[in-house]
Amino acid sequence: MKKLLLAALLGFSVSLTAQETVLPAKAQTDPIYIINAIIHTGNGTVIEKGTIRIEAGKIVAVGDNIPVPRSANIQVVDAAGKHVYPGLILPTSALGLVEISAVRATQDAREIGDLNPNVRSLVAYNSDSKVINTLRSNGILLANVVPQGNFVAGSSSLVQLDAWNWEDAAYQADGGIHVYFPSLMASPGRGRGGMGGFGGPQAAAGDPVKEGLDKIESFKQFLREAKAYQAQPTHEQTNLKFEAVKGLLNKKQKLYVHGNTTKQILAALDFVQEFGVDLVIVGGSESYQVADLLKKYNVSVILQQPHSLPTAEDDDVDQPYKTAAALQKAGVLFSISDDDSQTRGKNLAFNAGTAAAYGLSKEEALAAITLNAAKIMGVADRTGSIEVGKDANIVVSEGDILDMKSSNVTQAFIQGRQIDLTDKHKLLNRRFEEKYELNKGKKGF
Amino acid sequence: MPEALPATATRLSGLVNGTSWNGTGTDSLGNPLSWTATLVKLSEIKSDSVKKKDAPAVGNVIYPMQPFGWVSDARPKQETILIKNATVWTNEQEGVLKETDVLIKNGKVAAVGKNLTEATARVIDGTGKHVTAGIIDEHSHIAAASINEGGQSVTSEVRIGDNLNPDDVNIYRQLSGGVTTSHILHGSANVIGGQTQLIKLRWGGNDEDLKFRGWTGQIKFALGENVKRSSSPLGNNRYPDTRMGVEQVLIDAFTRAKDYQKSWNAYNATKGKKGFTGVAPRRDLELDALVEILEKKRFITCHSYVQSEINSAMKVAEQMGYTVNTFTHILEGYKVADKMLKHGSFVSTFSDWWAYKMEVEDAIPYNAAIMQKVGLTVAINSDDAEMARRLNQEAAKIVKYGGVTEEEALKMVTLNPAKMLHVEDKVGSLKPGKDGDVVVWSDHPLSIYAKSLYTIVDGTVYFDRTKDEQLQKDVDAERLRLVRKMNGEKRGGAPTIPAQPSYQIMHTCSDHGHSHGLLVIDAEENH
Repeated sequence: MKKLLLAALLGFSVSLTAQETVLPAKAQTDPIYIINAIIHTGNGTVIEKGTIRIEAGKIVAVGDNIPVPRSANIQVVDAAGKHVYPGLILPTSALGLVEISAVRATQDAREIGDLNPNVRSLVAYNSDSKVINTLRSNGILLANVVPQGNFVAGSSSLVQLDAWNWEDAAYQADGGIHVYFPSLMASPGRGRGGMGGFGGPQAAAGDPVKEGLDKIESFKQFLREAKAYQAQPTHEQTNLKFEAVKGLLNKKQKLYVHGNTTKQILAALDFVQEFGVDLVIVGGSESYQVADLLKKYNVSVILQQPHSLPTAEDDDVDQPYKTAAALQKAGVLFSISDDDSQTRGKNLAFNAGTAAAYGLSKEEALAAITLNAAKIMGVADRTGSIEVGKDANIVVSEGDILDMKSSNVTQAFIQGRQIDLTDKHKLLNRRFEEKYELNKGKKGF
Repeated sequence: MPEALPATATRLSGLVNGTSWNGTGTDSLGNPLSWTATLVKLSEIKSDSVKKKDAPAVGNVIYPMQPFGWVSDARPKQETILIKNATVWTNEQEGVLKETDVLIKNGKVAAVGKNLTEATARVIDGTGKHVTAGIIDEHSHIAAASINEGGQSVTSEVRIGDNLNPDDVNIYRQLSGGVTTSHILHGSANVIGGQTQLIKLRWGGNDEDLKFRGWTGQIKFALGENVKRSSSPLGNNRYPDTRMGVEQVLIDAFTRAKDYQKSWNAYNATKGKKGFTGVAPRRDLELDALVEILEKKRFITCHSYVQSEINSAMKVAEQMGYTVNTFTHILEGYKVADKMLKHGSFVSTFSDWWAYKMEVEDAIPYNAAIMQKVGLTVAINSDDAEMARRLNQEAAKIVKYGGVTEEEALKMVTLNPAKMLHVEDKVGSLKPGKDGDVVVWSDHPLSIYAKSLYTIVDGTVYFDRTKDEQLQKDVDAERLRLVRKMNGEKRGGAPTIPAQPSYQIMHTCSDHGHSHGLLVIDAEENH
C-alpha cells in the first residue's frame, strides 16, 4: 500500500514537548514522488502540474509526464494546488554564531584582530540554535554562516539546516573569505556636541578616505606576500595566514567584500584586476550605480537587506527595493539576503518578494534566493534548482512563497530527508492555545 | 585620455589603480554614468584665461528645504476626491465592498457607496485597486529632534510635542507606505518617560501643522532590560537595576502623585472660603502629568516584554487606581492575555521580532493572533522608520501566523491603533464624517506586491506615486544645480573643503538594531 502523505495532516499530529525532541531526519530510504505540484524550478521555468522523483537524496526526474508506480515501497506527496520551490538559501547569516545578540556570552561571530583569514565560522556553528528551525519553517534550508569583523574576518561555510552537529551540517566548508571594507567616508564625531538633532555631526580628525585606502592596500600587500610564499616549494616556518588564502588566489574560494558605497565597490574591483579573484560584493546598496562595471569584471553581488531605508536622504524612496531589478537589467549575477537582526533571516523570501514588486519577475526573484545564491557560492552543481542530478532540497508551500499573504510552508526536504517543521514558536503557540482553549478538539501534548 | 569618457561629462570621481582608473560620475544632464580610463600621457598645464561672471541665481524655496520638499506653489492642497469602482475595505460593519466609490470632501470622508457623483471632484479610477483607511502607527520615533530623556527614572514632565522635527524625510517615505498617522513616543530609557505626541504626516508643514488635533495626550512608560540598561557596555549605576526596583519606582512615583493631588484638592476646596490663609502647593510638572493619569486625562503606553513585568505593572496600576491603557511591544503578551483583558488594556506589538535580547527569547509570531483570539484589541506597530513603510505587510503576517481574518489583520494597523489612541471617532475606518485619511493601493493591501498609489491626509494628496517620479527628477535637477554652482565657485577661485557625507540622526527606542541605510546614525549608539 502506498504511503500517502497529506499536507493538512502534518503539523501537530504527534505528541511534542520541546524543540529538544525535534530530531534530524534519517537518510531517505524509499523513493519519494511529489505529484500534482506547481513546480518553480529556480532556473526561470515553471511546470504547472508536475512530478518530482527523489531517490537516495537526489532529484532523479522532474516533469509533467513522470509515471508514478503502484508500489508499497514509495512515498507519495500530493501537492495539488501547491507551489514547490528549491530550498531557499540564506546567503549571509550569523545563524548558529549568535543566539541572542544583546547577550555577549552568546556571541561567536566576531574575532579580535584585523587579519584573520584563518578563522573559520564552521567550527563555532551551533546546530542546536533555536533560530534554525524558525528559518526552516519559512523555507530556508541552507545558510551561509558568515564571520563578522573589523577587516579580514575569516571564512564562511554553507550549512544545511537539519544536522546533529557542525560536521553533519557542512554543505560546503570554507567557501570564501570575508573582508569588511573601511567606509572610505568621514565618520561622525563622537559626543553629543556635534550631534544635536538637526545639524550634521562633526567629522573626525584625519582623512578617512586615505586611511581606508591604506588599509585596503595593506591587504593587497598581504596577498602579494602570500602569493610569493605559496610560490616557494618549501617553508622553514609555516605561516597560517598565508596558507589560509591559498584557495582565494587559486579561485577555489570566493573573496566576499562587505561594502555598500560605490567607492568601496570600486576599490574592491582592483582585487579582480590584480589577483584575478572571484569577487562577491556583500551589501551593495549602491551597486546599481556601477552595475556595468560589475558586469564587466564578472563580479557578483549579495544584496544584504532590500528592506532598508535609502542610503541617502535624496535617494529615490524606493531605491533599496529597485536595486535588484537594476542589477538584473545590467546582467549582474546577484542574490538577495535578509540580515535583519530582529527577525533573524526568516523574511528572506519577502525581501525577494519586494524586489519582485519593484521590477523583477517572480521567477527572477526566486532565483535571487535559490539558484543565483548557489552560483555565487559555487554549489550550483548540487543545489539551487529543481533539476535532475541535484540534491533534493525542496520546499512545498500552500501559496506564493514570496508573499507573506500566501506563504505557508507545509513540507520540506533536505537531501531527500523530510524534515520536521516544528519550531520553538509553534510549540509555544500550541502551549498557550491549550491554556486559552483556542483549539478545542485539537489533541496535543 | 580616458577611453570611455562621454564628451558631456561634468563631474567624475574614481579610484586609481596604478595607471588605470574606474569611476562614476554624471553627465551635463545629471544622468549617472560609470567610466574607465588608462593613462596615455600626462597633459600640459596651460595658464588660466579670465571668464565673465554670471549673476548669482537664487533657487526655489522648498517646504521643507530638502529633498522631496514641495516647491512653494506646488504644495498639495485639500481637494474633493472621488475614487471610483474600487475594492473598499471599510473597517465597518459593511466589511469589504467591491466596485464601490469613496467620496472625500472638505477633508472628510463624505460617502462610501455605489455610483457616487460629484461634479467638481478629482476622479481617481479605482478599477482593480483597493482602498483602505490610512495606516496608523502606534509606536514611532520619526519626526522628533530628541527621544530619550534618560537622566532620571521619572521624567513625566518632558514632551515630544515640544521638539518635533517636521523636516524628517521619513515623513515622506512613510507616506509612500500608506502611513497617515503616527504616535511619536518618548524612548524607553526610564520607567516613566516623557509625554508622547500624535501626528498626522502633513509633509511640508511645520511642527504645529503636524500635530493631530483633538486627541487626549499619552505618556510613555517602560519596563525591563532597557530601564535596567542591561545591554549598556558601561553597565548601570542608576536605580532601578532589577524588575523589583521597577515596581518600586512606579509605586513611589504614584504615591507622590497622590499626595500631591490631595494637597491640591485640599487647597482648591478651601481657597475661596472665608478666613483662608493657606498658600497653593508648589506646582510640580512631573507630578502634574501623573495626576492627569489618575484623573484619566492622560493615557499610558507601556513598553513591556516579559510576563512577570506585565503582571506587576497591572498590579501597581490597580493598587494606585489607574489603568495601563496600552502595553506596547508586549512580546510575551500571549502568556498573560487573559489578565490584560481583565485589566482593560489595549496591546500593540511586532509581528515577528524575537531573539535580539534576552527578554524576547520567548517572543513568537503567533503572539498577536493569540491575544486577538482571547479578546484583546491588537495593533501591529513599527518602532522602526524602515518597517513603518511596510506595516500593511506586517499585518499580513498575522494571517500567516495564527490565521486571523484578513479584515481583522488590516484593522491591526488602522482601526485598532485608532482605538488605543482614543481617536477612533476621527480615523481608522472609512465612514462618512471621519477624516479623509485614505490610501489607494495597487493590489490587495495585505500583499507584498501592493504599493500605495495615493496617500491622502485630510483630503490632501500627500503622496502620489506618479508625482513621486517627478519629485525624484526634481531632486536630481536640484542636486545638479547645486553641484554646478559649487563647481563654478571652485573654478572662480573660491575656497573649497573636501566633500563630507551628510549624516542623518535617527532616534530609536535604544531597543534593538535597526537597519536604516548608510548615512544614518543611531542617536543612541553615540553615548
